[in-house]
Amino acid sequence: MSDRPGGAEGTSDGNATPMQVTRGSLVVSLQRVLEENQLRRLRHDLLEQIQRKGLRGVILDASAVETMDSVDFSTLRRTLEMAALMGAIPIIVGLRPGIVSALVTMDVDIRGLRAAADLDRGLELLEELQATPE
Amino acid sequence: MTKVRTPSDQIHIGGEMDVARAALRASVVGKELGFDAVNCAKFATAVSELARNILKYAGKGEVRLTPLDGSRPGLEVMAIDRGPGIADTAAALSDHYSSGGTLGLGLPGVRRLMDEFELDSVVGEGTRVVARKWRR
Repeated sequence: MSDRPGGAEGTSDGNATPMQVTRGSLVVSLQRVLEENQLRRLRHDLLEQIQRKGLRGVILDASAVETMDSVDFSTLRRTLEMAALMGAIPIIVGLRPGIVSALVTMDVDIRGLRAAADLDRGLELLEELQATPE
Repeated sequence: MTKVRTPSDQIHIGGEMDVARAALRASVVGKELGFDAVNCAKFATAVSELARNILKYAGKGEVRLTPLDGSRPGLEVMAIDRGPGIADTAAALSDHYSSGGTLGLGLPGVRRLMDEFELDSVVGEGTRVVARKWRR
């Protein structure tokens, strides 16, 4: 099995979502099209990475995502909640205006979700949150 | 007399991948018709939600995307299945069932994403949702 730098151990099916540790946080690069099997795999890999490396932050980078429906959102949201329970502050970044409009129109639950415009701002936000006791 | 429109896409829904495919196709068709990014995404999300309902409640069905030619261009999605049908369509369309994700069908949300919305369902026979969005 291949081991991509900072990433999850690979398997031959190639549906692993790219993940990389940057400045002590796990940056997860969501792909253009989201699909349930891939999101389940993402959740598993993400939680395993947090545990193995003692990571204190997770950034879900959604900037490449073309469409997201309420079920995708719900799945991702739960994954972030799980990350938080493992001591990694979760942030979502790069959600496109179209996706945001659609999700809010569908009345999805955004309570407690932290977001930033892009990866750089997300990393800054994480650093602020990790520095200040909550 | 209703003009018979030819769907540009007929997507069989039978598995998870088909939901993603339908959403992506809807996004592409929307762009081709000149919908702006936001309305394209709304259309694609509506298609995705409807495709998921088919999968979840009927196991399989079809999503048809049809370009429309009105005073402005538009797009229609028709989601059909031969599943159990919805006994209480009024309840399905009420906001108690609107929270996205796990609760119910998300139909009120789909309706809000689109400009026109029709639901036909017969218990034991199936369900058909037709929704249209017009380009600004």
